[in-house]
Amino acid sequence: MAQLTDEQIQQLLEAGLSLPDTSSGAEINQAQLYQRLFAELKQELPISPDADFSGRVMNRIEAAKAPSTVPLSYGWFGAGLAICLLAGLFMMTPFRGAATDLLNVFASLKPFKWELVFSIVSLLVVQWLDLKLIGKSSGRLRIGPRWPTTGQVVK
Amino acid sequence: MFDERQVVQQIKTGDIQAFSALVKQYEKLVFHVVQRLVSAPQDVEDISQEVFIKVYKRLDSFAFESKLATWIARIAYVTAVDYLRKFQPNRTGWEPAVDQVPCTYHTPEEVLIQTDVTLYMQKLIDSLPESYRVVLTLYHLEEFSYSEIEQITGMPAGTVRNYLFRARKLLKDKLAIYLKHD
Repeated sequence: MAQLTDEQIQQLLEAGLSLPDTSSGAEINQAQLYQRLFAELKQELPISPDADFSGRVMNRIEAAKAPSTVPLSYGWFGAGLAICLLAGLFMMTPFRGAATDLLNVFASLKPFKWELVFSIVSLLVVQWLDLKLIGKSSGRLRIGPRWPTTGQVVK
Repeated sequence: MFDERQVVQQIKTGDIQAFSALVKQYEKLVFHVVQRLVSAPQDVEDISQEVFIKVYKRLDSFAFESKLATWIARIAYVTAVDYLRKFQPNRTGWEPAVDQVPCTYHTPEEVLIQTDVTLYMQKLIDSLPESYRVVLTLYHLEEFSYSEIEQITGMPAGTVRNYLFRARKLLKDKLAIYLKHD
């Protein structure tokens, strides 16, 4: 009778069956090695979640659900800016020619328009490079906020 | 007893404590999947947290077409693979490296290390290609079926079967040499 192959022995063990009675010593030896291996593969892995893991996840979810104050801040900033502009226009109304003067100021800047455009673009490029360089220098995944001291894992 | 349907319904109605129970139920599964791909403990913790946040956000789309564990394991697998693609693009984890793990030792210190077969096996498993490590863990530790592993990893069932066979044969051969020298 032909020897059982590794694949056949693995299939027998997967199905929870034992080797046929007619198996040779070599086959039994191989099966025992596989049995030992299967037992080792059931061993727990070295890193396990600690008792606070679910708490940290819940904290992050709660934090994500809390309404952000950033859009509100932008809203107040916009509202303040609009009020200032309206107030400025209102103040200028009694003075004849004030609005014209303002337009004249803009008109006087016209010869320098490309310099102005260049300055604004340069500033934006510097900001973008800064963002990119900071992003690259961190070099590692940091998903969401880092938890202060509770990030340890039990080995 | 953890009733996944009931828990999912509770979470969908806004019961945040039910989600805490879900995290406790599946945290080991997520840690197992993630750490078979990512080795740094702090990264394992961070990625596992991210997995559960994704689970929370996507739970509305879960329609019990598979077991909840399979669905969560899939999210864990994809998140860990995305991490590797992003932060370790030049890794060589898909190439078999098990032959580079020493099986015979000669110095007394090394012989001492050799006495712990479990440690030795873990070292061997860590040296396997990522795909082998994942299917071994999902099949033997988490007891997923071939079709479930197919759903989790996206590998065809035949590939899963083949990887399992080859990984176990490699490990068995190494174990045989190890025990001969023990």
